[in-house]
Amino acid sequence: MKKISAWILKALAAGLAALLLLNIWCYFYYNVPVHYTNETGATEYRWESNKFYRKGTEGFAFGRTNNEGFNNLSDYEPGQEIEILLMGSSHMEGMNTAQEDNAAAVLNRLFEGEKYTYNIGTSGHTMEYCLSNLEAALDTYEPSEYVVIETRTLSFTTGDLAALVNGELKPIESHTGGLVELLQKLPYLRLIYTKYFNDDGGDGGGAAGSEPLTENSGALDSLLSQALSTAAESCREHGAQLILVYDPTVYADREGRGYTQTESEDLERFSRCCGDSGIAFVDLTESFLNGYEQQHKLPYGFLNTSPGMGHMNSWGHELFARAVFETINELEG
Amino acid sequence: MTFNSLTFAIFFVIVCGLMALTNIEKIRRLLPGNLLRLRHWVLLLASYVFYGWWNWKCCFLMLGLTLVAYLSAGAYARDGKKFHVVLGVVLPLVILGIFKYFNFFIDSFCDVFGISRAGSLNILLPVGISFYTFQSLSYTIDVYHGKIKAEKSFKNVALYIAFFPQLVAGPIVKAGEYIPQLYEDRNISLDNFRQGIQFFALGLFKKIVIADNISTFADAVYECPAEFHAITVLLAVAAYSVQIYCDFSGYSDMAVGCAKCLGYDLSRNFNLPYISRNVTEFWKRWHISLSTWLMEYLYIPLGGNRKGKRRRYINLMLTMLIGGLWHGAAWTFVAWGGLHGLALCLHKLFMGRPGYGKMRDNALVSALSVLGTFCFVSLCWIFFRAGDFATAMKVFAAIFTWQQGVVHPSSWALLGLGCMSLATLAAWIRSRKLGTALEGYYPQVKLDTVPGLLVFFLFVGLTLGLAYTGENPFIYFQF
Repeated sequence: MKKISAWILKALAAGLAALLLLNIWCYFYYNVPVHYTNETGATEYRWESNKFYRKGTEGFAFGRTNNEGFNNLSDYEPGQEIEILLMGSSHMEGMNTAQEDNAAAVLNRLFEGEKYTYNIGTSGHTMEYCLSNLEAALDTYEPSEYVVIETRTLSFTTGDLAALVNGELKPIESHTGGLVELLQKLPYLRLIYTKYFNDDGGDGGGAAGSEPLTENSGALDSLLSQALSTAAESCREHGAQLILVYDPTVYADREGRGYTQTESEDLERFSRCCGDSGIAFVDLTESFLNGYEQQHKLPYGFLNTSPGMGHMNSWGHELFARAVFETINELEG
Repeated sequence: MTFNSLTFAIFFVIVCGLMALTNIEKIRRLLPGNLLRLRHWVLLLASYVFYGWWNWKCCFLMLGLTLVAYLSAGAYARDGKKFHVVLGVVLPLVILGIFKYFNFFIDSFCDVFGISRAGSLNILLPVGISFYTFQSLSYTIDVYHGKIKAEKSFKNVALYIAFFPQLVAGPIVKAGEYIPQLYEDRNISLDNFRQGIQFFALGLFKKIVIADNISTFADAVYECPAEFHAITVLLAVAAYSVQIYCDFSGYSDMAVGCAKCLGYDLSRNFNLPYISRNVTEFWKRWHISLSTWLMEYLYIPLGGNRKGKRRRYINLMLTMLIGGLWHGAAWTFVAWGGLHGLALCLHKLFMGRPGYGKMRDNALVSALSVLGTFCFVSLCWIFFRAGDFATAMKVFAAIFTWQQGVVHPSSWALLGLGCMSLATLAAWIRSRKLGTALEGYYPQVKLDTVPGLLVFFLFVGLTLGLAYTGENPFIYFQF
């Protein structure tokens, strides 16, 4: 009995020491900030501010959230002039690429100080959430020229759109306070939780490729049209132009030819609704496919994940930024 | 229920707990003569639960095969009539043929003669059927050859065939190696558990960290080889060599580890296969239990090398073709086996030439031979992995036409190759230090000291943290 007790004590000591070392390792391997409800309503939540992050499970990037908890190279001061506001999901957030490579940073370089781009893209914020948060985002940041919203899909459900139109979209919850928050601050536990207990990556979802089934009904047309026109109107009231950017996944068939899974009906509907509402619609399909076929580069995926799958990589961010830059130039004649 | 699942962890804790109960002095005193029998029943029941977890109906198939082996060997032992042995060999092969090869042969026949497919059977391929069929054959044949006595106890034969650590993907244990252990007082003990759990952890690392993470890359390339640059395809081919090794040897290590925890010894199934200098050596280091089985129960009975050179080569080719087919009912597996058979024949031819021994001892020649063998084996894996000839040809075309496409130097593939090279280097240094033959070794720490426990916990922690957690069954389950 004495022997067993001694062994248990040794195991406990070794276990605690191992946990400490594993947390140190994880600080540099997988270190995702805790997220808190965003009181401004510009997004459902925001990350811990000024926090070092690292997502070695997908890509090799690391960075620091800004004073507001968003993935920007610089802080935001209230009242600061923002010309372009980027909104979207984890693809837009770009925590898997180097901070200087994400779309916001590339746009800032392309505009050479002429226009400042601020990125509030946050994991799990599909287009429905972005549109739902749009009014608050406009009030908070008052972008003077453009609001760009990224969407990975053009297939929406009447359920989600109805929830958006009726203001009944289920909020993305933040679990903070007390022990839960403390546990989330231990990066190794966070990693294990993410891997084994939480399919959406533990960061509010937004992982790639989940495209809901298209619902073929007139109700969809009407709801989409309503949602988009409301959003466009809000932007106009704040003196900004809304730009929606579609960034589909590129696949290759058995012969190596690139394609996307966009349904032409969805594309036509979305494009029409955008046109009717005065929204500039940027479809990255051609740009992504050209990138694949001419330069053999895929906009998604990293060297430590399946090629072409997952989150948007640096190349995808660059194409995205260039397309937005060209669209803005066209809009401005 | 796979070794890398939570279900198995719970199952294994329960089995270990039950086995540990029989170590309690009071229970030992209560059941002095029946202790072994009780342990065997616990293990047998656990093995059937383990197998039935996939599909309980398949338990009847395994039970049927066990009955065939038990009855035919028993009948042969009683009256010495060869007929019983023939029945004990043919019947399991027919069953295996129906479940695994019936549709394949019918489809192939229809393809050759341009007949529409009408006679396909819609049957489920029971997990591990090839493995336990071979074990049942091993028992019957060993009794026939007088290597072991026919078991009076049905339970012992049943446990030999169904013993859960090696049931679904080997190692293929020979009856003469396992059944004698059932007569010894073997059970879970601290020493066994400490050793076994470390084998298991190492196997788990190979499987869920190296093999599964590489699979995300290799699968994508094999899914669409036309998408990728030749260099990416080449890397995927090399990566698959690492993947299949870590997947299968990882499973074998886990099997050996589980058995060790329970007090049983299973033989080593892999021994640094990719340092082989030729294909003959490769087959002495790769899936050792299968190659030994094929040699003892197929190659030698066919005449081996006793009936002249020509027969030797025919026997070799036949053995490897059947070995290929054993892996799966597809012509790509036959091609894979055929290529290995051809290489074995060529090597045998080459071995007979003057100066071979001298050349083999040259360090540079050795290094080039290792590289050449690795390249050959890796290229052969293309047939093994591709699924059909069209895909295999696309992979070859991508490499040999220096195809342009996506460049994706997968970090997991590079890490896998690096880990394998490091493990080989460590084994080489150790063998030089000890003056022994170059053999893979499994580092073990002392799990009764704080530093030992710390290293073990860290290793397990890293394994869990780096693991690929998507669905990815063991490659050899399909066989």
